Amino acid sequence: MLEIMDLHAAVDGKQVLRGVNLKIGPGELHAVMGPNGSGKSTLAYVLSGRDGYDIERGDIIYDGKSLLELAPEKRAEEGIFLAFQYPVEIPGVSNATFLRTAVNCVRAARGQEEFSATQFLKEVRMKLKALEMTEEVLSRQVNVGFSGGEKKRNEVLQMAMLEPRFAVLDETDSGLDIDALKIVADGVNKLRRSDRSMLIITHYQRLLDYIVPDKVHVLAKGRIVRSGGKELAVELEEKGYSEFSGAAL
Amino acid sequence: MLTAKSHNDFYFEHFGNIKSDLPGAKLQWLSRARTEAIERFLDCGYPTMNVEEWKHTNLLKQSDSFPVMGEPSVNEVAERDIEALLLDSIPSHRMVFVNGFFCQRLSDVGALPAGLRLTTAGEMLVEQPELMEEHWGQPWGFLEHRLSGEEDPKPHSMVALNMALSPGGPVIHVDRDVSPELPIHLVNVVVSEASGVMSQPRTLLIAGEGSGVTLLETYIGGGVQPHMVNALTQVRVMKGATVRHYKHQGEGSNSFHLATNLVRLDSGSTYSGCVFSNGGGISRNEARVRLEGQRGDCTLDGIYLGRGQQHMDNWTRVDHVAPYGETREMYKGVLDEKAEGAFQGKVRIWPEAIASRAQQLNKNLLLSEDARAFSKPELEILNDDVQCAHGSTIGDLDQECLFYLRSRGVDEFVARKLLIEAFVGEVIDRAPDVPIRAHFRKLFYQWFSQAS
Ligand SMILES: Nc1ncnc2c1ncn2[C@@H]1O[C@H](COP(=O)(O)OP(=O)(O)OP(=O)(O)O)[C@@H](O)[C@H]1O
Ligand SMILES: [Mg+2]
Repeated sequence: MLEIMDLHAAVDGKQVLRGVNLKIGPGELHAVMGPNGSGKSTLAYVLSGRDGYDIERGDIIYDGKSLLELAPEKRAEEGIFLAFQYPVEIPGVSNATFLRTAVNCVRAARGQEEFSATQFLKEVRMKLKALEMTEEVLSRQVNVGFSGGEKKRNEVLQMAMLEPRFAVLDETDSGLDIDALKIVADGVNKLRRSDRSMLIITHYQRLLDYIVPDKVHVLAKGRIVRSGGKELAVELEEKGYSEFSGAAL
Repeated sequence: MLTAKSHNDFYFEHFGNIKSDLPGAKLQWLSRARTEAIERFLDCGYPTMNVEEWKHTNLLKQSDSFPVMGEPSVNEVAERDIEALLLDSIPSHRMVFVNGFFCQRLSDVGALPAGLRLTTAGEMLVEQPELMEEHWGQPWGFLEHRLSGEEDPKPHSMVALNMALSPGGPVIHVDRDVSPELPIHLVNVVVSEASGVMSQPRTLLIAGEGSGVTLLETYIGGGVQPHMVNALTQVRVMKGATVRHYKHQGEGSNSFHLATNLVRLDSGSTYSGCVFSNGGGISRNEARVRLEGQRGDCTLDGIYLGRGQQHMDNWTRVDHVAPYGETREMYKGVLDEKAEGAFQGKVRIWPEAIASRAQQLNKNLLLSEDARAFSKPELEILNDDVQCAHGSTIGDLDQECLFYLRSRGVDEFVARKLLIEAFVGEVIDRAPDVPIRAHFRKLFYQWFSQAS
């Protein structure tokens, strides 16, 4: 499904990813953990096609094709989705307009019929309910004045609406209270399908109790330094990252 | 290139030729006022960039192409052309003027409610000369009252030129406590003839005590020859009245649009103005508001969208003369390609105007490296008992927002449109009239879709 090969990326002249190798099969859910500043978000951004990264070496192959030359919107059409660690506020644009525009752009590109206003409302109401969100969020400006937890739920709502085939969730659990964490995890679990893969970036093993990963990787200093099953998360929770980061970070 | 001197001769001669045919020519006070006006213009000449108020608009750059005066016998304008230019027609009482002259055939005034008079200066001068003398003849706005106490006519020479030469445009009179349901729509079409044309549209709105009225002015048209529109609109908002005043300035790129709005607010009255400009090669929209009675409430908003080589100047001045007044200003510009935009806005709180409040904001979005914006919001506070704030920004589109949208599958063009619409939408949504908001949004979409 997705293969990252020897990926080297620099930002502002600073080497951040130094040879990432990762292979995620269809329907698999992988977790990436690792110390602050190790390059997790950078990896997520590079996957989604954000500007400003200098890809010095390596490639990302998705469905047999390289992603690197594709614009972010093309990647989204192809089914890539990133739930941002820090969701962006867009003053003056309502969440409803934002969601509907996005969904219809993606649907049109995928050869699906665009949603009418009523169809859209019907779909979005269903997803809102599953995430225990109120309809009021639709009329609010995108993420403006949202609490940290509301922003994260809004990311998951977008993911549910856009029906990606490969989703990256960058610390979607941070900022969520215990109940919200369960709701969001449920939402994510419902989206798990044999043809939909996910990469979940997190600092906490707790999330992985709810969303059980097929594999866990440790990213440190821009490389995957260890991979294992879900028990690796438990080990990291106990021991921390000193083994990987040390003073050199 | 014509010199200012030869322009003077030209206007003077022209004035001599037409003055006896102008409406109300036999009224002594009026012919005196017109003579005084042309003399003021001749004394001052075109405002130059040395005049602070005109520092961003260079008239002399254009002057060799200063065209002849429009005549009533202009080219034919077809109704469907007007409809097309209007984009959509809002239900309204509509009067159409071509090159400054009333065109009955294209107008659609409809049934007027009792207490709303919609006519021309020519008719009003016959029927109610005293009323016209009070509101039309008095050259308020002729003089700039400098803080030094000096009275300076120079910034107002284009107003003087209009007062001298205008054939008299629409007059709207709203009686006491009358609030017409529909807006009044004044459409000023410019049709450029072979030699180019200059028009002097002049509008008067009198909102009687406790009345409420919506006025939309639309300036459209164009042609291959350069032409100039020198517009003057006077608004008198009487005690407790509310005036919502919108303008779309959207002529073609050969147009040179200069406009002055002069507004007087009596006590407890409300004026809410919004200018949407996306037309003209060079445009300058000036608004001068005086809060002369207590508790006046003034909103002055503007949107200017420019591309190509357009130059768009916005100049506002609000004088709080009486206590407890409030002013809110929000001007936003979107400038692409080599367009230039300017905002100069001053709010002056006079010593007597205690407990005044004023807010001024100007924001500019530059969509290209060659686009430029000048911004100078200014508060002049002459007493201590006030609450005032102002600010301005010049920047490009937020790259984070753009990426966020694109990462959701929204292509760059649509993403930019959403963000720019959100930017100007903040101003549009302040408009009290919902149909006007919709109209402005359509104008925005049309403008955006014409991006090259
Ligand atoms: N635009 C940038 N300019 C300069 N340095 C950057 C930029 N973006 C990221 N970095 C640096 O790259 C490194 C990796 O950042 P990244 O955000 O990928 O870390 P992370 O693993 O997601 O950390 P966290 O767990 O705190 O979210 C950090 O040292 C960061 O400061
Ligand atoms: Mg991060």
